[in-house]
Amino acid sequence: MKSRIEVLGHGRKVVEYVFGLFTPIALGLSLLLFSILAPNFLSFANMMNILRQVSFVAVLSIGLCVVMINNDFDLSVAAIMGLSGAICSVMLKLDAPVFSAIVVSCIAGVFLGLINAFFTVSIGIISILSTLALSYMCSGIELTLLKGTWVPANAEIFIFLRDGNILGVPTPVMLVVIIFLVYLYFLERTKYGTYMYAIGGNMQAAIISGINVKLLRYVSFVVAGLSASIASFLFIARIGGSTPHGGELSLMDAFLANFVGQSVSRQRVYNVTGTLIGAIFAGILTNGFTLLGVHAFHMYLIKGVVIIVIVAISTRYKRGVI
Amino acid sequence: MNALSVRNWAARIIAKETLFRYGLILAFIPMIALFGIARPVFLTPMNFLMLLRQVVVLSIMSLGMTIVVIGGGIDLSVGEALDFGAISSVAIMNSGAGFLVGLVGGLAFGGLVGVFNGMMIAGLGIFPFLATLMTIFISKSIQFMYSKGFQSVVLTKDIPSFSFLGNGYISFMPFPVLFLVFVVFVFFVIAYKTRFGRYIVACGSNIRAAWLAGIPAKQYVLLTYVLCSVTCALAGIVETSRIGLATPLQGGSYLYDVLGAVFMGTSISQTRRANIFGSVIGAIFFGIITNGMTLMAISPYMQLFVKGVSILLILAFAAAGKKMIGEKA
Amino acid sequence: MAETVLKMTDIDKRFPGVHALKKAHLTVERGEVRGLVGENGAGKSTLIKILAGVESKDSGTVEFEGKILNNPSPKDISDLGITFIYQDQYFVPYFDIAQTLWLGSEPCSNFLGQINKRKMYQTCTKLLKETIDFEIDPKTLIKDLGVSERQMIEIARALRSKKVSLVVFDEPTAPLTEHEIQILFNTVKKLKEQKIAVIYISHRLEEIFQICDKVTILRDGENVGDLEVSSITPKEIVKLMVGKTLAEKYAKRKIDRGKTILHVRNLRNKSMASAISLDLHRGEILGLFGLVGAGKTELAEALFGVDHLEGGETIIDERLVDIRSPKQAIANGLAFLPEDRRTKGLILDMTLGENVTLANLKKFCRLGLISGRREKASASSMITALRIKASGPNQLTNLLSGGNQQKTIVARWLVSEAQVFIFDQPTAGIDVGAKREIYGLMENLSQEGAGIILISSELPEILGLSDRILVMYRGRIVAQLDPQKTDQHEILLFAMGGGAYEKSN
Repeated sequence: MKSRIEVLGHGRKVVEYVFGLFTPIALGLSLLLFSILAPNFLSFANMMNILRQVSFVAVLSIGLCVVMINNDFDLSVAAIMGLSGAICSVMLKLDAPVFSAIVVSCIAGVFLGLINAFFTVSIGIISILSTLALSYMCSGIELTLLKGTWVPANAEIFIFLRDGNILGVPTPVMLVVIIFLVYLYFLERTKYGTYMYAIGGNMQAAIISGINVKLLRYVSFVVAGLSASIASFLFIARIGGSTPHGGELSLMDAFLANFVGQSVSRQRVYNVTGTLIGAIFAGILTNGFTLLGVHAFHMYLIKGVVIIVIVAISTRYKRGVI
Repeated sequence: MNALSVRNWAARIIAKETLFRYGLILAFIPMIALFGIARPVFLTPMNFLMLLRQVVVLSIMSLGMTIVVIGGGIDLSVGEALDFGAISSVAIMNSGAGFLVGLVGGLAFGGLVGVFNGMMIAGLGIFPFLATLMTIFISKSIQFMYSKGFQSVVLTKDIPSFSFLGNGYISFMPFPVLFLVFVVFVFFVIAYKTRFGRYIVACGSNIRAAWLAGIPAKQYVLLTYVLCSVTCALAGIVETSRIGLATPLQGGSYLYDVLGAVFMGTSISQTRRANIFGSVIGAIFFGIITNGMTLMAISPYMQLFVKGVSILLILAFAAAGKKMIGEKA
Repeated sequence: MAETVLKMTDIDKRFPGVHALKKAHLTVERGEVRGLVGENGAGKSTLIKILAGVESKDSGTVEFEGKILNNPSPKDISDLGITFIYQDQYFVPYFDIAQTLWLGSEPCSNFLGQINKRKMYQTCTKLLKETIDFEIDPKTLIKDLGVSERQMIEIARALRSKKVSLVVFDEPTAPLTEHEIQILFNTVKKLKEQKIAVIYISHRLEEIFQICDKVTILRDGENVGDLEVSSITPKEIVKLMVGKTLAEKYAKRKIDRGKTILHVRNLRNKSMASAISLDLHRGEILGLFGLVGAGKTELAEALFGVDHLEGGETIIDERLVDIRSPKQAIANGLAFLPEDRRTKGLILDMTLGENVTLANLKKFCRLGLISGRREKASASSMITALRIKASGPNQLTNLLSGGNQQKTIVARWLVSEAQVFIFDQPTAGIDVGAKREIYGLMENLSQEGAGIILISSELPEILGLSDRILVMYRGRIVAQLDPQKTDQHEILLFAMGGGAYEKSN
């Protein structure tokens, strides 16, 4: 006769196993649900739409992923994106050539990443705090540049970025795919990627192995900054310009994409593939709810709740308690 | 090299590190000087009192957040608790119940936010960052539905004791300021002199070891979130009492400042942990910056920039100090 | 012809408040196994850290293969052919064996740094076989490996480069079983054959005598001996290390056994392989011996209420109790001193006094407020009674040495007035002098009527201290032995599964 405690023990094991699969199940379920409830959901056009909408978040999230792999946080990616976009829009307004505007924005992203890296790696402030401070700074400059109003970005290239196609694939999607493949290659196939995973897994081990930890951490922040700049181009292309506080919400999306990505990997590490899935998942939810006519505000809430629950449960039951 | 000279040498290094640690406080001097020169009105007692008023709400919230961070977590939903407290207390008082009921009711509703947070974090094991983020979403949704589109709730009844809270004076000191002093004192006692405080420090430092030492860690972590949200609700009530209406979404704007104050405050502690004293100093620091910059007619956007820069500099200063004695920041 | 590989001379190093090394020196020749011994705080690890390039010296010279080294970085050191096997293992838990082996020197296909995965796995298998005779799937993740397997990987990793000329072992046998220690010794002998110099740091005298040719002894930052192992006895080494004579190592105990204080029946939780029953009496020291993976810590944790209980009863002093959390365990008079005292025992951020009162804080409260005075008084008396070397109750526990940290934890349980103590590997990483003091503490506790469960994988310790010995193998208790009548061989035999005798429930 089994004691009560023993029976509970068995049940717990089953629950743990099931919850470990939660993320893929949730993904599948939501796809199913939406396709049943919203007639146009599974159409090719709609799928493409989702991918277009999600592209700038995807780039932002993937850039953040590199930093996360190194076991750092970067709370400034959305702010860098906003500032970078603002610089670009304002330069266009001042009749600068498109090429310069883009280049300067990219340089800004790199430069801001360097500042993050400097304060975090060289000075030694915890990444959460230093990047948080930088995000304030970026927001401040961005809002000042935009003088608190909307600044349009009228240029051919942005229209192309938004609506165009390359080889039949929407431009933003192509851009995401290219970036994704590049990052995937470097992180999963080269030794530098392995070194970054090593830094994130056990920094002492990386140091002992002779890995140039400082340099790689610098690189990760710069990559995140540059990715934010690229994301800003996709962003301002989508909405046609820069708006104050524009990309702020994307910070949460980027982190959520990464957390979802982590929960998907068997070894519970951050990875670009999972992050991309996370970003797309967020996009699916947004799109699905929009098609169902859910009010924008409630969607924000529901999306957040759903994603967080997925991550929380699958994380917890893969890791174990306390 | 004898023992005495070694000790002197060590003492000098430690003194230097202490100097770096107190960089935050030292920064007050040039700051006050700067603002005082740029806008002499900054140094008047009238402005000083207004400054303290502005700081009261931020400080009280920072105290609550400090408790959570000491316990090892973080609470992004502090603004929501503030709103809950403010709105519910006004709504209760509007319905005819007196000040006391309104106060208690407001604190209770604010506490609900903390209970919710605590259950998610301690009960379900969700990361604090994510859990409190979710709370923001849910709370905003509830506020949206209740206030039909985020309209302010105006206090329709005249309740003298309530408005004394925000507008009263005891001799020349505004009551809120005295109230703040009282609250700071209470938090000092709670954090450093009670079992609760000792346990949450242990939990924040090493939750596994704390648990093995017999501390019911989950319960205490939950309590930190409840205490924080009640405190923020209190702050909301204090703020509402000044102007007589409660505005939804108001709390959210405080979040960055509270985070800044608490984390800047960590620079003062020897173990780089959140601490009551540091958080209060941090809150005052932010208050001074805001006040001074506003006097100088600097745009709110640039104020944001300056706040960011100052956080970086203070933290860098403290980190450099740590490196001098060979510790990692 | 002997050739000096390493020569460190007149090394001096100070830290704030501590003169760690006073003109210390260390010499090692090709093909020699040089032991390095000293109590905790004698300067061994500082000296090695300076060698590793992790710490900088204040003065002195370091000469390697005839060349003087000038502030080398860790990378310089490893390029020179010096490798280190540490006590803390520096592994990335989610890497597999091959990745771990080749971290920092992966075989690459092109200038972009693309890793040649096929080559990586092939050479990994080859290396493991050749250097340490180990066969395992190179794709196994590190976190799925046991402690001794990880150590073997670490050794293989150290030997991955052909030009290794000096290997430094820092307490390599701490997590190993007897059998695994022999494998380690064989590996060290293999290194000797290849004319590689070895520095072997250890607290275990038996090993120094078994494997080392010469031994360097440090005390308080200075050299007190550089001797041939064959020309000295263990007693003399200890004397040099400690600076004072020690009485015979483990005196036999004579304690009256009291009533049963703890009785568990069919205790089981999710980490345990099978249900366990045992008894503990007042005044008794019950030794629990087992090799790695035997389930000793799991049993201890189950007793203490860690992890969800799946079945069984716990009876204390003839009362049936419900122990499902450490808090309940403590309330019932249990005390647990975990193996990992830094990460599971002490709260390093807090002071000594705060740690000591943590398990019984209520006692120090008056009207809800903690009485600082009473707390300090209690902590001070503990410091005196247990002879803890600290500046006072306000000392941050982070800075205490291993032995003193352990004493602080003991103090905590004394303050909590526990009656049943569970010591899990209490003397791991602690120097000889402090070890004796802890044994003394345990004896005092049992004399005052407490019951003690001593979990240890040091045979002499178990034999010397226990009144009764339980041997565990694969999650079961397989033998109960009388220390007066058994010996190391028999205990080990049971621990390796060789006994047909099983403790009946």
